[in-house]
Amino acid sequence: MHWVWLVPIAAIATAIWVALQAYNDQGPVIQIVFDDSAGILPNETELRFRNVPVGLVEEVRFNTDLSQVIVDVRLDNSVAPFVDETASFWIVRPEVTTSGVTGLETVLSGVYIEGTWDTTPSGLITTHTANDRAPLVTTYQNGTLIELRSTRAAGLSEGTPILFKGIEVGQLGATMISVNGQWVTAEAIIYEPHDRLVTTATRFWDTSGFSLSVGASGASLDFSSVASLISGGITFGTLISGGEPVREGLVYEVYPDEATARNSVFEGSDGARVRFTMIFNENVSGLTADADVEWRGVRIGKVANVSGIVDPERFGDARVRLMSTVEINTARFGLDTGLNRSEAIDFMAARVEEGLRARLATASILAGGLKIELITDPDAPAAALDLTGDPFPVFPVIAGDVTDVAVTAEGVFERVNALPIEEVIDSTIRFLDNATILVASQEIRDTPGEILGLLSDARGVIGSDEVQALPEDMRGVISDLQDASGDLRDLLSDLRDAQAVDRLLAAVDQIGNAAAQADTALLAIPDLTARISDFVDTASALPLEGLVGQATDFAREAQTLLASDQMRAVPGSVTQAFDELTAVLNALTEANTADLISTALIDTSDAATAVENAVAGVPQVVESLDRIATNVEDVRLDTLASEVEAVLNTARRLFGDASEADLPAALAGALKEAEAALAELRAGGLIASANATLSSASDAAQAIENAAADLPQLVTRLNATLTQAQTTLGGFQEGSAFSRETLGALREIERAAKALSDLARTIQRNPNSLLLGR
Amino acid sequence: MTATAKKKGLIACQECGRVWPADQIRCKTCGSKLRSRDPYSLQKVWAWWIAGVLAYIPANLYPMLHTRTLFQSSQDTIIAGAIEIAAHGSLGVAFIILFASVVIPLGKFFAIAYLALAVKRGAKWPPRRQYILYELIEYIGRWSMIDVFVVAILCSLVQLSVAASITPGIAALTFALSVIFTMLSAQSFDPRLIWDRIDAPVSKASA
Repeated sequence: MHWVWLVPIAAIATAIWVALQAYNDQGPVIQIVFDDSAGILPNETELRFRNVPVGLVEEVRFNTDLSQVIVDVRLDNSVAPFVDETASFWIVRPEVTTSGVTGLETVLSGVYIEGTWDTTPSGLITTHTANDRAPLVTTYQNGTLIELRSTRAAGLSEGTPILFKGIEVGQLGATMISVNGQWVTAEAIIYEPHDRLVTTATRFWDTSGFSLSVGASGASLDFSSVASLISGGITFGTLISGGEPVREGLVYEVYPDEATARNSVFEGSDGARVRFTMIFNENVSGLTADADVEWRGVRIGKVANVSGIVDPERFGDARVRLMSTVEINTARFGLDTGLNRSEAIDFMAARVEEGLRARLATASILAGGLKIELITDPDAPAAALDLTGDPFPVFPVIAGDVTDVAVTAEGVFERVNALPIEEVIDSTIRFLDNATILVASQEIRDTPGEILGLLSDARGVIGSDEVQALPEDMRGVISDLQDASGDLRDLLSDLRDAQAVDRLLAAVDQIGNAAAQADTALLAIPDLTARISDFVDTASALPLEGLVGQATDFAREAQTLLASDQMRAVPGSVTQAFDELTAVLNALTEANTADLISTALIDTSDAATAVENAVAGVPQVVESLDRIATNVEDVRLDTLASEVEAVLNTARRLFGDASEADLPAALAGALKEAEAALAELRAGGLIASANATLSSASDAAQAIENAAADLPQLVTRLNATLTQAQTTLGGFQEGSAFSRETLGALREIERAAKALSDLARTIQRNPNSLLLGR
Repeated sequence: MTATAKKKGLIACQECGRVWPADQIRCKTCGSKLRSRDPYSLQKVWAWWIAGVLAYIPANLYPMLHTRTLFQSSQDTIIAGAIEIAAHGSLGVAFIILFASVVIPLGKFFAIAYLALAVKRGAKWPPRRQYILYELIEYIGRWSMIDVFVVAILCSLVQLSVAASITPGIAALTFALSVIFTMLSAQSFDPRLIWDRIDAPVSKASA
């Protein structure tokens, strides 16, 4: 044999080996049943597991009645034992959804069949039915399958992510309508290990779309992810403890939002529910049935019933109290859901021992609703759960934390509303307008300058040494005055001792006589009045206003004079004059003045008597007056007035021309002389003279005293006189012409008096005018 | 009776053509080993022939080319490819492919087998015609590699990674092997054997 025979032998061996290998590698053929083949091609389409090709489609055919497509797939031997009853197959094709793009590679390569099965080989099953879509549970994404249901389809759509704190932890499978048509149900998977977050107490809610809430703290826009914004998202939360771990196939409801889900915790829980009665002393509106009962913000129950209660025996008065029955789910405290009612009540009683109390609280500031809050207040007065309460144990309460914002706010608004804002604004505007005009006037603009000048003048005066010395001098004067007032007091007490009143009475009596006589004289009065009226008419015609104006001018000049520097010397002189005066007063005090005054009063009384006598002659007087009036009427008052005016003009010229500088000096000199005179008086027989004077006064006073003694009688007589006068006047009433005339005359007199009063006031304001010796 | 060199006790050098007496071992001109006949010629022919045929079987069963374009990939055997091309209307191309890849290799197998059998058992054909057949096989056999060349050129040219690519299939390898084995088989045949049976009665074997 030639060696070349090795070649065909090797070839045969290779062929045999390859054939054997191929035969060994060739896996079993399985049939997968599809509704449609969707691009599956024989010998091209692969079967993949975890994206690794593990088989190839060998044939695509129909079943006998053409209702389905059977795809024969040659499996790899390596995976064949795993393709058991857990296997599921689906076609992977390109898909673009809101949550992403999948199967993009199949756009170019064509579809493939994806298979998944568990990791335990339990024998090949050769016939399988394919799924329409990828199953939720695959070998590489394990989790717990649950079922979600909702009364509305929104939010439940296939592929919707299940988010937990923003992380995708699960997914929704195909949705379908429940048999009875009431629910939309969807299979959902929570991937490992997140499925342990789900318990029987978990609540699912829809987070699709976005939520816009506007509150006291501003507006907030919430949405979890763009995907959930478009296609919806579902999240969940385990709001209370005590749930059991999730089981495969558990059914959960999907709530529209978190609030509803939270609230549903109550309804959906199977914890023990116990009812309590709570009696609130506050009578606050807003607590209604179904209001929340909260514990640390967690809703643990609801108000079952609200009613009023009046029970004088129990509370000691007949006030109406707010009685509410609340239902508390103890499972919310994290208690075992298997607790029975009495255990739950025991638990609550223990909590009450620790200070758990109920109170009313505002649920919504704007809406004004109330809720009941359970709070632990260790300082609360000791109380216990009143288990004897009928029908439910009575839960102790404390004062509520209720703010009735609505009422307060309303009051504020009403007050604001009542403000006369428009009027105020109008007035303000008017005021401002006037103020603007005033301020803009030239006078006001000049004022500051004038004030400045005045101030500087005043500063000059005040700054002079004499003025500075004034306070000290004044102090001396005041102390002297005090002494003098003490003396005066003594004097008055002396007077009291004397019988001044009696004497006064006598004087009055005499006056009474005089009045009686005057009565007769009154008869002549109408005539007199008419004449006076004429006179007054004439007087009122006088150009008094001009006179007054001139007087004012004059006064103003005098004022200017006073502002001159020389006037500053005056206070010093005045001070000295005061000193002198003080000395005189002292001297007077030393003298026996009171006695003298007493005597003077007696003399006065005598004088009154004389007056009485004089009154007897009143008719004559009236006649004389009449005559005088007649004469006065003749007098050329016009001339007089113009003369007075001339005098005033002259006086003004005098002031204007005369060396104003000299005048204060002269004044000072005059004062000095007065001072000297006073000094002389003090030194000389002033006191004696004063005494003489006073004794004369005493005489006069004596006369007054006598007169005063007759005062009661005088009053009686006055009465009589008045009666008579009344009678007389009654007669005059008929002659209303007289009254009118009288009234007119009086009016004229009043006017004249007013003019004179103005003049007097001017002079009073500018007394220096008197210094002219006018 | 026709005289041959062997019968005359002569031996010709295969390399330089110098004729030596039959007992001469080596050519004194060129130094080559002198053999009147190759005693293992037929064994070698048959061995290569078998290997060639064996290689030819997978060459036709397995795909020659893997063609992958953007949207699909296909793998065609030689005959399927030729039929496909014919179906597209390129009958000429299909004919060439079929001729080069099927007719020629098969013809070679049959021709070599016939020659080998004819040397052993005699044949109807006169030795002269047998020799022409042998020359034909020798000459045309190398053209069978045209398939392999086409595949090689296609594969090296069409490598556009994502868009399209062509890779040789297992058949390309076995086909090439088959051609090589066939050529070796033809080369192993000692054509002088044809003349040994020049006087042998036609179609009467005496081996």
